[in-house]
Amino acid sequence: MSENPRIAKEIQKLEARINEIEARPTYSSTPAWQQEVAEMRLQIEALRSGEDVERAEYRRVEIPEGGAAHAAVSVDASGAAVLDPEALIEHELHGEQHADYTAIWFVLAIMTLFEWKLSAWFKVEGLSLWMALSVMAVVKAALVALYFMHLKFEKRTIFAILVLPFVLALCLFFLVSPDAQQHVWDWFDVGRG
Amino acid sequence: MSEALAVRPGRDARRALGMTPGKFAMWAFLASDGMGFVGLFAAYIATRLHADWWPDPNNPAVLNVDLTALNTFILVCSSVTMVYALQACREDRIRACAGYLGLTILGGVSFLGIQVYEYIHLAESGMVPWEDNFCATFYSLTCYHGLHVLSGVIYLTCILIGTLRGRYNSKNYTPIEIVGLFWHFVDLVWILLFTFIYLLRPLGVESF
Repeated sequence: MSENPRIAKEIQKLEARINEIEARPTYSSTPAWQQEVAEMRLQIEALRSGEDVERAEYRRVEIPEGGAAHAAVSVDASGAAVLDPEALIEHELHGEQHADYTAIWFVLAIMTLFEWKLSAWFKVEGLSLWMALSVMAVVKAALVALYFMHLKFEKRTIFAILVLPFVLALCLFFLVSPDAQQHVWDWFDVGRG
Repeated sequence: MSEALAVRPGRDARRALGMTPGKFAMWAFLASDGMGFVGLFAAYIATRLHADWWPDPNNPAVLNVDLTALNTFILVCSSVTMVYALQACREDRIRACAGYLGLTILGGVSFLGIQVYEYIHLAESGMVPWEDNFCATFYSLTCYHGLHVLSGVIYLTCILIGTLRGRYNSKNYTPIEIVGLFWHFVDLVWILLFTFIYLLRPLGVESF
């Protein structure tokens, strides 16, 4: 019995989560979430019977005779049960979130067309051409990273990996810039003269 | 058959990481691989800003920008077929997934074919890597990228074979997502290279 307030709270938390999942048909209809709910029910049962919380977390799921009766478990050619935790966690973390890929493709294609014909069609020259093209390139690269690579829908931990190389890359550019700077100023002097 | 199955041994680690270990590893690899491009790119910028003279890449006698614009478009399209492949796999449409992967590979192979064609023509007109700084930076950057496209095509082919053998489905699509990350990265880098190598015309220097 759950006299222990810590365990009672844990059970309450799990039940709240089950209700939350079952209130959303998009989630509760997928095998991964059904597996999640099944596991949480097992955990609640284990907690009620006085099992330790940590042990309950790793309780084993019995595969019924004949295989694939369990929603998140498939059976491979040799008849062994296969559970893919990677797919489960992916569902758990990201669900089916993604952007409208065709729209992103259209934007990228149009931007490529404009980049290609910018100077021919709009008579943009010199520094303004450089600025316009650079901005468009960075926007296109950002679109690919955010939507095709799903960066927009990733957890924030991903930025911990990406920040350091980005800072190092900036350092590298600044390290070579004193070399280049003098020449850039020379150009502008030539332009004024 | 009734043997017990361990539930998610590395579950807490995955929660802490926020993604599967394979995906984390691919992101870490891309971050380090990107540094390779950054190094070459910094060298290109320094060399270009240093130069007293730089050829106008828009001049048809220098680079074929029209053909490369087409190539950029092909690579962007192959990125889109890649995300469609992943989506199809998530929805258990395995044949569609294999088809989209095939189209992605086709895009990559076409890209490489056009690039080799471009190289041959440039070499015939005397633009060889050791000709001047323009040629040296042009070939090192585009060739480094081309090798990435080649490895991407090989990687995609392996994943396509796995897909045709029924290895991936809506419960196991992480390998397809990971190859997609690599492929989109290659596309992303090309978008930047196309702009900064092919499109930026010299500023202060008169083009020939």
